[in-house]
Amino acid sequence: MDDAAASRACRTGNLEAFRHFVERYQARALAHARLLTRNEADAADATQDAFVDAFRALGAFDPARPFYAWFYVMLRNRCYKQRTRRGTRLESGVLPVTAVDPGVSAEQLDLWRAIGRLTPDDAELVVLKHIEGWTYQELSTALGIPRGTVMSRLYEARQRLLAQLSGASS
Amino acid sequence: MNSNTDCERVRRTLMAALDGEGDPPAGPDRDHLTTCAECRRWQEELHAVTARAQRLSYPAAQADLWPALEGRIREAGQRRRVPRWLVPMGVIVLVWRVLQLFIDFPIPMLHPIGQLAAVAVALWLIAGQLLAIETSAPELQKRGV
Repeated sequence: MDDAAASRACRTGNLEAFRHFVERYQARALAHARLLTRNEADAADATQDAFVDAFRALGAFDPARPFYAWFYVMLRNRCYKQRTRRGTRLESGVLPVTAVDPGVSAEQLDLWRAIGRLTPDDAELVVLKHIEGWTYQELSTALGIPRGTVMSRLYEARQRLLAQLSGASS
Repeated sequence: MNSNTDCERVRRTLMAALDGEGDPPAGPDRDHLTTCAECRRWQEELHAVTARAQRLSYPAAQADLWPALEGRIREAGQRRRVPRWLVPMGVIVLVWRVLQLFIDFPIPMLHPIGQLAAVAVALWLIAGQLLAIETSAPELQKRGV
């Protein structure tokens, strides 16, 4: 089943069809939520809440658009709410992946660590650009900032990522 | 002699080109690259980190969220099935009953149990709207996206 078929099935009252979205996107959503909240429990709560939000708002989802980009805005809102609830303190040790995650190489873990040392805003841009491959326009829409600001912030974030990596290797 | 301003402008152009969102440096910017070793090194590092990042993947979720979510999704699905036309009906009945406290209106035709149900559903749905979750970024909502 693809996303469009699953959303159509959900709209006709087939709640089980929503499982498709959860199973397909939960790993990615949890990784992003960990980066944004830097707290394992908050990330899990924000991800669950965002999926419920998505289910309630599914009527507004355009199946011609990618589901995750639409869902991400809700996930981001939930992560910011969790952060606001908890205050501004961020735990630096929480990463999207850990050394015990199967299939994660040492090289990948190093890069995740460098990304994890960035601020949540920087890390978000780097991940959405480098891993998700979003365009500047898609980033602009999802983050609610002008395209020029996306470019500037991405440039600064990459500078800091390169500095983290060169600092880690030296 | 290269200035920091030149370096930053050239690096931004390089970044946009690498992302497929702009043209590669041309003219004086291309000349700058041939003379500025720092910018060439930066370009190589950016290429390397981009290639590394593109190989990154997310680990499989260690716990399936569906069992915990299923109940909440079913509950949300039940709420969604309440007919929307009950809202205006409930509001009318509610306003009618309030006005009856002050003005001697005729008794409405609706059965009292029907009135009570309509008011209860209207209040429930209105409260649901007030507690509605945000489905778009605050910045996007302001811009009406």
